[in-house]
Amino acid sequence: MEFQDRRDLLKNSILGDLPAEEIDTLARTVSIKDFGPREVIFEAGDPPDGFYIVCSGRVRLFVRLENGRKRELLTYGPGEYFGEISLMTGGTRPAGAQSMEKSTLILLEKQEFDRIRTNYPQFAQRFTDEVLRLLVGELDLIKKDADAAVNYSKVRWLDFVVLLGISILMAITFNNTNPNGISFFPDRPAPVPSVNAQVVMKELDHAHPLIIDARPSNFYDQKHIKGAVNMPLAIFDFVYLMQFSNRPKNTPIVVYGNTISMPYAVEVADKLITLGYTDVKVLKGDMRAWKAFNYPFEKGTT
Amino acid sequence: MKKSLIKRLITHDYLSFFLRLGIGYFFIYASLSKIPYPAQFAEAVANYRIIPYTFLNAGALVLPWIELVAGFFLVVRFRAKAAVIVIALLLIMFEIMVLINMYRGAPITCGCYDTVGEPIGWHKIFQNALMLVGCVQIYLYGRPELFSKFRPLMRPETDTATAKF
Repeated sequence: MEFQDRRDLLKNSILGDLPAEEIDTLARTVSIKDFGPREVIFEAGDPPDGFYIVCSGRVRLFVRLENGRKRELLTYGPGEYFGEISLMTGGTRPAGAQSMEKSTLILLEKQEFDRIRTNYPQFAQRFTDEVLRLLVGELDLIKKDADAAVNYSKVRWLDFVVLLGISILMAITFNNTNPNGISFFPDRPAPVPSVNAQVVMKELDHAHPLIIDARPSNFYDQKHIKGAVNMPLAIFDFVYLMQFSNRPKNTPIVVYGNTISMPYAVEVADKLITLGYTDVKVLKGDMRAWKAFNYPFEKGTT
Repeated sequence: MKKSLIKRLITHDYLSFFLRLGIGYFFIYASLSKIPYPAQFAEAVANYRIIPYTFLNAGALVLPWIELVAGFFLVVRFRAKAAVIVIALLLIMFEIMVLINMYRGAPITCGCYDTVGEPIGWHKIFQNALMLVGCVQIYLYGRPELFSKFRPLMRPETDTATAKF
């Protein structure tokens, strides 16, 4: 870069108010530095080498976070300057600088910078003002970061409403069009007359009622009332053919197997009543009642 | 002070990323087999003998959709924190339901992926507990939301035109 160009650049920078002879002196002493895209100019913690004025390109100041990522603080374009803070505080660089694109910078060595500050107090004041301005900017940045971080980590009730709302809406819509759809709130099957465990036990000797376990087979296999036949709804027709085809319609039948989730016994009893059986009852208190009287159980398949 | 290697691994972005995809995919997969056959799924839920009959069908109809939507939200990172909380709550609910039935000695299958499924047992408890830990990791160390303006970090040495705040 020619002397004239340097002088013009200095004239258009923060140093432009210096006397002409001082600008000429600086134009002779400053060095010109070229940086490629993403090239680091200095890192945080480096001793300060001088004060930089951007001639062309773009530079950003950054801090490195613990996880290795960089946090951008500020960017500088042509005519702007950076690197004065550590020169004024006497410490190391508080932040790193990186060229964002191909950039050309003027470097004013530390001694020259100190000389200017000493000889021209108005510049010292200007740099101080600039540092204060940066500080206020940093506070603003910290506030924005903190706000964004708080907002990000916040989980709103609305999020749950959206998630559950979409789920319920989709469930209703899909169920309406699904050929295998079911009723959301099914009606309870009509109640069936019930019978006490003690009565059943007494009748076992003379009336020989047929005891039916209406629960799914895996529960039946694990434990069932002694002598009970397993007849879950899923295989109702098959068991009916095997066990009932020749029985008279007035056969006393006792069904059990209701749970909190499924009235298995009532469903099976209903079906038997529909088929014409006249003496169908549900075991009152279900298996608990049977167990309370210490009546016999057994395990295994039918 | 430098973070230890283990802490770095546990808090790493990529771990959250893979956990998010893994758990999200798992829930989507689990829901897809149940959504078309609500009656069979209601049967599977009824086997747990915990949900009252009145709410059984509603639960069997809505639960798979919650799994699907939460899994999808988690995969695409939309309302991910809420999604991961919902998934964690579902996992806790499953754990309690399985534990109760293990205590009862109920001879039932899980009903997690299909109506037949595998029998419940400690392996299921362990599997769910692992996913629960994964949910905690995602909640604490997951990346920002898909549409969030929160972009405090420049990717190392890549973003030249990172948006300024």
